[in-house]
Amino acid sequence: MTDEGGTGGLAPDYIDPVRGWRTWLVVQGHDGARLASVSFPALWPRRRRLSAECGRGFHTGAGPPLRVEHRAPSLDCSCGIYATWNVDRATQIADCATARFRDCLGRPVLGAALGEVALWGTVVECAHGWRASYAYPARIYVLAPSYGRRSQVASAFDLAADLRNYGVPADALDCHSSLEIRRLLAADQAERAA
Amino acid sequence: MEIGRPQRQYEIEPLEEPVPREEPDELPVPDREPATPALDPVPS
Repeated sequence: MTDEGGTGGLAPDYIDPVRGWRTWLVVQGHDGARLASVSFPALWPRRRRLSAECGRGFHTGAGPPLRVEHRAPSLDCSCGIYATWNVDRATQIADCATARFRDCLGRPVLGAALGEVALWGTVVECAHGWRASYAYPARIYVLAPSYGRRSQVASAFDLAADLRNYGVPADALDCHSSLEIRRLLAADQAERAA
Repeated sequence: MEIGRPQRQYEIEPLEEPVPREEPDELPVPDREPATPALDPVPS
């Protein structure tokens, strides 16, 4: 993934980015905490969009597998930057990620976060989420150390403070279960809507 | 991440990308352009 590229001069269908949910690992960067993708070795840059590239060029449509160079995302591939429609699926991923990873891209994993992400460019809408060519975090929630039975090496409050360098709201979630995440996020959204 | 089968594809081109700008105190101080030397008056 890079931060290069464009929409290729096509007339857009929409002008408002879609907003979905996703999970990140929080890793040690050279200058503080950074967000990293869970299932792909990508660091999310600060104050610059993340751009998708298809590293596989692997066509998964009907017929035999065929390597085809294409811009990410493609309907017939699994490439792109992922987000889910609702927080429940992102929470399920957080359950796995927080228990599984100890390092990422050669950097120690400091914790895990979930949050809202803006997606734009070419967007593939799927049954439960989207894959897109560009993305940037819109809101970050750092999970408490006790979440997912991991021993987080930094406090969620310290990580949230550090992640505010992305220029978007970042808060700590004092939660111990998926149910608590949903309850706290619902309360937070209700408070913001009031 | 399991997000199910693709349904459709579209293009979104925001008028302004949802990427926060640098804070003013985070911007690098630009190098100052050297002052343009005053032109000598042209003798008439």
